[in-house]
Amino acid sequence: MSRILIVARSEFLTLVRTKAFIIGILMMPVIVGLSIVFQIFAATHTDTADHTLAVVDRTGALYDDLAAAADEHNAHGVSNGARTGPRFLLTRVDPSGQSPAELEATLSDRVRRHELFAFVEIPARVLASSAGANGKDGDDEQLAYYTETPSYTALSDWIRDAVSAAVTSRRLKAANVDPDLVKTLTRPTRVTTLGLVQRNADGTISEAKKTDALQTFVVPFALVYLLFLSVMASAPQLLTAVIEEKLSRISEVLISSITPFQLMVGKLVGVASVSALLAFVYLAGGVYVLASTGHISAIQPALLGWFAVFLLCAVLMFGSVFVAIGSACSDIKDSQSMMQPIMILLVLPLIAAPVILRAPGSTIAVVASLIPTATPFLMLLRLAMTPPPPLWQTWLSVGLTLGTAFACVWAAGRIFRIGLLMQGKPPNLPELLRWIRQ
Amino acid sequence: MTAIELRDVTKQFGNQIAVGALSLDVPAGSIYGFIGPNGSGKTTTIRMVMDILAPDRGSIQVFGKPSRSPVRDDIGYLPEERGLYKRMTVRQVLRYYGQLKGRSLADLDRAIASWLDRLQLGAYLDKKVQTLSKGMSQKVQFIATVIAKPRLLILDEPFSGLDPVNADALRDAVLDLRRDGTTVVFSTHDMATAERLCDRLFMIFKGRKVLDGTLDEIQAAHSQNVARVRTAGGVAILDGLPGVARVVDTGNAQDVELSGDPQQFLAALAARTAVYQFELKKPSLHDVFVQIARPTPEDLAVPAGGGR
Repeated sequence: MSRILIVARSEFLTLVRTKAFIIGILMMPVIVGLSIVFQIFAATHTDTADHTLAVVDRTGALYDDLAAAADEHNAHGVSNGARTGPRFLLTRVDPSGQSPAELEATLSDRVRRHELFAFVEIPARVLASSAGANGKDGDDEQLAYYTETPSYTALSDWIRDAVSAAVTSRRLKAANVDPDLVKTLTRPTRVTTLGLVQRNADGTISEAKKTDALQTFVVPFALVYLLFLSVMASAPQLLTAVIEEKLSRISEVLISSITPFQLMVGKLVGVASVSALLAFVYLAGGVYVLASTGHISAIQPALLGWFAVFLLCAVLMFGSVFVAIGSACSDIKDSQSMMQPIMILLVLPLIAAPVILRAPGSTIAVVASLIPTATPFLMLLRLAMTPPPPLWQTWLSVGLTLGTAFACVWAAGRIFRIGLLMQGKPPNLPELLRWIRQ
Repeated sequence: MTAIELRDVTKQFGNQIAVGALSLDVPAGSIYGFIGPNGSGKTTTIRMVMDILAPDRGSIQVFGKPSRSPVRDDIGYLPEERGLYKRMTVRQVLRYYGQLKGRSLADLDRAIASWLDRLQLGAYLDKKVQTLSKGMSQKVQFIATVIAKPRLLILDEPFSGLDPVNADALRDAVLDLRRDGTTVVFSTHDMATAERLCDRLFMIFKGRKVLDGTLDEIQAAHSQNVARVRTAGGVAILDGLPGVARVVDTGNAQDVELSGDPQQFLAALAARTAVYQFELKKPSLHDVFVQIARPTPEDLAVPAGGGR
């Protein structure tokens, strides 16, 4: 077996045999799955309590409408006989005979004693037909909602909407306008987003297909995130492994058997294999889920090929930089400051991804996806979207990135060769450049 | 046959000459001691022999060939500061090191079983290195160095930190390897072990060769004309005796540095008192080392503008 492969095999097995890797690779889908299930469950099941709202209706006319709206709301929050949402129970408070301040203090005490969840005061002017000076409601038309749990907005949002609906209906009636007619006339227009119509070879025309959020947003971003995860799960490990080998003089024994360049390439092949394994496991899982839910068309087979190309580029590029840093440093602390700029380079494309997602053909998207450190992530993102980038851009980016990756491997090899035998203070940038030129 | 041949080898780091115009012949099948103070150029020389560093000038041959791969496969190297992959098992580590030297797994498995058995480590074959004691790890590292049956073995302080039983076991193993034809380069600061074990010794100091020969040759070249005497008269009888330059009283005997002929001194001494012991003292390797490497006042002077 070639010695590079012996090193690669050892590096691969060392990484995948760690508990952290096994737990990581198994736990990641479990954690993602659990968090999705939890969010769905939380959205539908956590808030099923009864919330009692005292209503001080100074109009004297709206309470019945609100009570009916509450009944309707409560009837909707039931599925298969079990509650899936909160019940809003209204209780009418007669404000007569008490000063507003006295009434608010009494109701606040009831909230504190948990007899009420909150109370709301509906001002008398809320039914006024004329608007404030700026065309909006005046301060004296605003509801006052009192609560000791302001973070819970479901109830305040509901009462705002319920009062607005009741008031609008009454204002329309007061103006002799049929509220149902207004509803019909102001119904919103919906948009269906479609792909382009295809003209077939036989002259027939295929219908355009509806676009799918899964294909448009979820798959592209998931691929970019998976690429990032696969690189991060293995490449930085090279740094600690090289420092450990250097400190324990293992590297000196190794380079008495093979050349430093062979050793470094073996290590890179090893971590690239780990990244590939990780990506393969997740991609296979993802494809299985898409296939079993009937969404397999959301991912194009060519995209998986591009994923492999960009994964290789990213691992070679960042892996060799991590190897170089590891060999130049004599302890982990020294390496932290050198790591920071590289980590920023790794994370920047993720931060830029949402911008590219919104405007994949924009100048900023084209330029950013041609920067070699960002290409693996951003060009992959553009390739996963429609329309795909022009072919020349794709090949130019692959050429630039492969060139950069090989330049990184070459320069890292020069640094590795000298750094492995160096002890003490880590080199500064000019010294590193001198090592590369030597 | 010569195992290692260095001709006029020079290596410089910046302005510092690590090794200067060094020539050396290590005969095949010998145990060759490399001695010298820290920073004198030993490790640089060893690294050049292993082709980890390239010399700036001169030539290096190992078994008659330039010290490049595949000659490396014939060299086993045990560095002074040791480490093994802690999370690997003993078997995995030994296989890995052996495979990197180009040996087949079948050969290696046989050699691993034999060496572990010999050094009483058979029960630890599938134990992780991190579960081993320091002494056991050191023995495993020694096995890793010899597992590929190297023709040239370079050992840097192989016995340091070992208890006497384990040190003896490794020493016996080294002697057996030499008996089987392996050349051993043995770098150490332990002068007593070097005296006992090495056929020839080489000392490097400030990058230059200062000693090269057998122990007898070195002792003869550095004899200081010192006699150890034990007499009925004790230290007092030496007072005023002709030919005495200096006396060091060691209790019931005295080391006398002579300024003249030892035989004349002995005759004069015997005329004064009964002589129980008279022995012309050979300098130990330790004495020679200290004599060469003792810092001079210039070495100890703080450079202008330096030091705190």
